[in-house]
Amino acid sequence: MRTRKAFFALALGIAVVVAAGCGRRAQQPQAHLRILALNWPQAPVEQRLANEIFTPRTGIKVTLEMNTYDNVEVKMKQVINSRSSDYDIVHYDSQWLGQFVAAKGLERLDTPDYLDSPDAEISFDDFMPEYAVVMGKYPTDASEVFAGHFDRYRDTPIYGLPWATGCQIMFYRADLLKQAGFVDEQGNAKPPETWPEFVRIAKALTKRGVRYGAWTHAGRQGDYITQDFFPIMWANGGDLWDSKTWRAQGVINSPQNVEALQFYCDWNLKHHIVPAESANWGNEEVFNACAQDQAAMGQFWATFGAALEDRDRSKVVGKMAYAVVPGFRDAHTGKIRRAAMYGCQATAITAFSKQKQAAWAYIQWLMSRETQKAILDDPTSAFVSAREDLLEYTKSRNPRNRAALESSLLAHDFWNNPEYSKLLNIVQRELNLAFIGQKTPKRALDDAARDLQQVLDASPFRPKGA
Amino acid sequence: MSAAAPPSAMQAAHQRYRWFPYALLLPALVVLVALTIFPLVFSLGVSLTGYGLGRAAGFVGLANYAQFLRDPSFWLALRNTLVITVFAVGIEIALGVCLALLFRESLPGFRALSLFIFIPMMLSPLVIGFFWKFMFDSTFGVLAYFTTLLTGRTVSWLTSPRLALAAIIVVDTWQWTPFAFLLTLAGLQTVPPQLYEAASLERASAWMRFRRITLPYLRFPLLLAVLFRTIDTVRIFDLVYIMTGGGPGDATITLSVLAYRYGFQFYEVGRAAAVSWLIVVLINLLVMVLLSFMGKSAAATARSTGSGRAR
Amino acid sequence: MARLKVILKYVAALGATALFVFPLAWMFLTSVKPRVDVFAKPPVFIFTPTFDNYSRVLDSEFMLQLLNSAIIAGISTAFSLTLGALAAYGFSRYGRFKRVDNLLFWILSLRMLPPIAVVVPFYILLRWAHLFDTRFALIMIYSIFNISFAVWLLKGFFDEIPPQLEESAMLEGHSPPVVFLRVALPMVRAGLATTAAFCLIQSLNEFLLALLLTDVDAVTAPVGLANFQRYFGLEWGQFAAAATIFVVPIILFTVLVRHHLVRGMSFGRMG
Repeated sequence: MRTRKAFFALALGIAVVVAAGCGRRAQQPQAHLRILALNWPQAPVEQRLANEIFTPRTGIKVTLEMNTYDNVEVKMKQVINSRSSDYDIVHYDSQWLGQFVAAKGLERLDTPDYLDSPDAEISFDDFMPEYAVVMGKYPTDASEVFAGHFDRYRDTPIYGLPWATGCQIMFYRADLLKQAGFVDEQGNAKPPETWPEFVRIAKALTKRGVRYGAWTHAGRQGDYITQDFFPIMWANGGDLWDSKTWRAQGVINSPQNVEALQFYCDWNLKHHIVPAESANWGNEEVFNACAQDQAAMGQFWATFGAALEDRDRSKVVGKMAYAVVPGFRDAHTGKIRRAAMYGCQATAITAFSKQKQAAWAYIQWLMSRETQKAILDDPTSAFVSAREDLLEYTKSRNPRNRAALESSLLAHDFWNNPEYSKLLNIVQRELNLAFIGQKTPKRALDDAARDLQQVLDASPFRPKGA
Repeated sequence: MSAAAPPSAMQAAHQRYRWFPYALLLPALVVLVALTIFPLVFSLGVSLTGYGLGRAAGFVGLANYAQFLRDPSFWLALRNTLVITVFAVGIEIALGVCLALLFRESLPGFRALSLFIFIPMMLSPLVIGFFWKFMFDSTFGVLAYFTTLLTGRTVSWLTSPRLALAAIIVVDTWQWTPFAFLLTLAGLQTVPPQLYEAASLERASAWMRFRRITLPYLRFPLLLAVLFRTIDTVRIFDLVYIMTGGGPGDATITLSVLAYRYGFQFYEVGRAAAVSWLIVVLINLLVMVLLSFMGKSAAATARSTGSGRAR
Repeated sequence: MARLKVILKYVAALGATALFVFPLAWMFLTSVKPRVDVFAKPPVFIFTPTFDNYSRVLDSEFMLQLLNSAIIAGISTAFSLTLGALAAYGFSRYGRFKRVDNLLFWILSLRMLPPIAVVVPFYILLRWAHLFDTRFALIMIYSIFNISFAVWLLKGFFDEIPPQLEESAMLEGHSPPVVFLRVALPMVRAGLATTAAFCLIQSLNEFLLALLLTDVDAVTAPVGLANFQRYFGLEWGQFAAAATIFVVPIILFTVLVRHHLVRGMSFGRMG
């Protein structure tokens, strides 16, 4: 039966070819740590130092798998959901902490195996509490932490240690401000101290067809517009929610917040001091606007400043200056109330790792004074260390670090409860609609409050008595 | 099979090769069933639970589905998805046919030129998404540069709810018109040239020639194009996610973006599966409508051309 | 008048081509621009090209990812084409029953499920079978969509074949399998070429499943392209270079296939 043979031959051929396409993972050498890392500029530096110092010293190979922010979130959720031991160490954003703890995905570090061990080389107190407590301990009440009541969290469980620290600071073009006459007594460019001043200067600097006076990343995606609006909201005295009673209704749509949102939206709708496309912009577009001399000042993460000094990427090398973000002047006291957007990521051991002790050895090495100093010494790392004993050294590295560290006392953060993703999605949507003028600020915040409250009320994670 | 009675030699041959139809169909079916049975059962099953990150996976029946039918974002996503699908598929087919008719000419260089038209559908959706987002940007984009030169105003495509949807339709059409173009071209090649010779002898007009001769042979490729493009466009994801993220607000959110949001941002696997199955239901409805139309026109084709088999 | 028509046709053809090609041209330009000019405003058209991006991409792991993509797409297409052609012929010649029609519809419906719905179950399945992050896994998963497409497209082509050809072959004493291999299959060369082209393109460009079901070993080119994202945004120059490198073999394949398409389309004249 020639034809039947032909069919069998065909089937066999396919099987062979398919088998040839198989690629199995090569056997891993012993003690290989895999880190789900964010692709911040400090990550390659860390990888290099790990290869040069940690691996020869301990025999443990380390691979930092650098991913974008979104991918880290998705992959980490996938890992936790499937309880896989794919990654031993993970970087998480402070906002994700609640979700990961609720899903039991992170290893608790304040135990005799880790921080409480007599052999531990590092201590939680090595780090600045302004940064370490919010990103490392859970559960915490953000408003209390940022008010400085760290002592209340002495015994709160620790899940992570500071990996990347920072706040949004004010970037401004010193040359343009000077040119336009916004200078202090010494003749140096004087950045705005209050938000209304910011708008005034931006208007003066806006030249149609040439450049916008300001920028903002008001995009719908991720957490872009909230990152820029929340500091304005906080500086105006408002807040996101009441964390003790789990109330958003009446809090996020308070009259102060409506006022703050109107002020912010006017940048686009009334004063036209920001690019028309801002409502679809994220970090990348703002960076390009900065680097291509298309906008003069705004809030931004300190890390980006390093890339702006790269002649290969930037047309504004040497022209950028940095300061703490502006605020609002309190009518009664005359004091300026400022708030900075907190942006920190921590490093943690995953609960399903099979090499936890090796991971702990790595983290101790990473958090040590020598290693943190080595990362700071590399000019490409754009790193801000959270170690208290390196504070002055960190500040001295570059002007951005100074502004970032001074902002640490002004920092506020998002909700970090397990419903974070849903709450963020609601606020992102409403703020974005207000920014393009589709909804009035009051309507947007009222709708947000209603939807937020719905999520908070229905949440299985709501603490009893809230 | 033709109506003539087969001779007994053929009947005997059929008997000996009774296994043949099974040998033809089974390999593909076995592979497909083996690969899809777990995912289908799982995703259907999980859509009936509250499975999610850190949540108990309790059975909730049809609660997930009911919740979506009450959610305004779902209806918004549904509306956007239908708008994009209808416009994109419609324009792709129309444009594809026109281009195929144009490039069918055997003018020198036309064959080479037609190759370039295939390029958009060969590009990775990431590439297309990022580049078009860049081009539409009113500050940096090359499109904005030219429109500002022409009109003097800055048009911000991606931050205006209507224009953002239009932008997505433009890009999707740009990407997939080559698909309709290729299929139509294949169909055009099957038209027997004798028919055209006969038509020119009778001095029939171009439109008559198209309607009576060409179109019947295009029915199959075109309906295939509409079928597959509809199925794929209803599931549109990469383009929307990269260009606008569903924004501004939720103005460009599609059903797949909604499923992604529930599946990977909120990590509520049960709800994401429910939205996905709602997408399947929608596609099924659309396809059944299209197929019944296909059935009617297939019968018409069989009568008018007298060739091929009734489908 | 005829001359004018020809000129108009050329204008239309060139215009259409330009419309579909200019983003690709812009992409190529971006890949050779110095980094600082990529986002320049007004857009820069005159500059000194640099091939830095290409050398960096050729040195990077993107080339391995490209190889993965090629292997996965190639094998999946070959596999799907074979199984699909067999099944399509079966449906075409022997599928006159209602039940079979339902089967055909079911095969089509496999394409309807959005990837998001199947990622989690596939993830679980692959981990259980220790096939996570393997090329084999992606080959089989892509074959689902490819077989579905192949069956539908090829069935239509098989339906177009005049029955007299096969009947005369069978009267000459050839068995049905031989008739399939020697008579029917060659007649649908155009369909095979078209199906192969589409299956390849779809398999090469699939993103979501490749992203979430691979890690290090089986990473494909589209996921590799996504890896050009840095903290400040895309590394546009390298991204464009990688995308250009990625698209060139696809274009070459289409050139070959197009030639074959035209050659194979001759059965209409045999009637």
